[in-house]
Amino acid sequence: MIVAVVVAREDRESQWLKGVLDLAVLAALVREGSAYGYGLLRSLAEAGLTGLKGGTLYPLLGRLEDDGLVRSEWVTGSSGPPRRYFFVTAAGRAELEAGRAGWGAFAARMSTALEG
Amino acid sequence: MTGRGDGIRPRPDAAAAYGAMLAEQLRQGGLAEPRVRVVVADLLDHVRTTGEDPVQAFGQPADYARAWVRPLSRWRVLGRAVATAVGAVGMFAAVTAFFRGGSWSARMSVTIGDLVVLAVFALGAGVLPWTLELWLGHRAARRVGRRPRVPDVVIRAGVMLLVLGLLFTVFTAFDPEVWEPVVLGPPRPVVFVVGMVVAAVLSMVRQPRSPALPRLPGTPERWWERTPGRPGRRRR
Repeated sequence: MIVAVVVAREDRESQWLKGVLDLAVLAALVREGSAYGYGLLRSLAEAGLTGLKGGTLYPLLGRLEDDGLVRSEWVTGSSGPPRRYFFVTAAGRAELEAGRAGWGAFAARMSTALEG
Repeated sequence: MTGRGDGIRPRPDAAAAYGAMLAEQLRQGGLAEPRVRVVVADLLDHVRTTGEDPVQAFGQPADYARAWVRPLSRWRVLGRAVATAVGAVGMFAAVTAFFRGGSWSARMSVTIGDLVVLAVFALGAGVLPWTLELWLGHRAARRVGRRPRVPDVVIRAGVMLLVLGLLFTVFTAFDPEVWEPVVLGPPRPVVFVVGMVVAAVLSMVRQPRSPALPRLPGTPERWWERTPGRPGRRRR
């Protein structure tokens, strides 16, 4: 019974995260300036979003790039193959600002709705 | 900028094998080759950096591919199987017409036996790759790190034996005279030209198995590597 409750709670948090993960990624990119995939995962983990996998992050970055919110560049280092770095575009910053405002308003409404 | 991750490094050949399987699934789904290179390069870079097991970080290749492309529908599989079969028949007809001795102005005699052989060839060239091979590819891409209960080679051998057994049964069930009547007499140049034109269909159909690891992003694509596919827009 306890296990079921814990799993249900994790599912709920997972659903919440799905709706705002793109904003968290944009915010992490703004914080970092630019980052490659693993760097972004670390930045997100430092912000409290632990447990994210590469299998979730890269398709999301691909969608953000398709939408023009993120751009990427291949950077060749001193050793090893080139690595892709991601940057936030102006449209991405605008989307983040709008998302922050929307999230703030939504969180306030939910807090009110959830009060006993 | 963040540094390199810690952890046990996966075997490079294991990451490459995973990348090749992922590339095959993405190509099957119609993702354009430049985009396939980017997706696989991101994966390999991530695995190299973090030392994570690719299956733990990305899931099985078939599942991860679904984040980028829709799986092939039955109708698309059927369409590609038919196109492959038609193209293979065209190539077979063109080669037969070219190497047939005698005058080019003569007509070719096509018997019932020839048509049956052609039908079997079409089935073998079009249906087996888009059924058996497609399934074997999916099976492998869902079982990375796990040994299959029945190896691919055993399944292939079993299917080949079944097909050969069916053919033997069909050909021995009838009197040899049944196969001899001539049913068509097309001019040889027409068979050659039409066969060549129809064979060109093959160049427009992606083949079901293409497990090669893509080259690094940014490297120019050679003309023979260009395969039809969507330019890279993915499912949402």
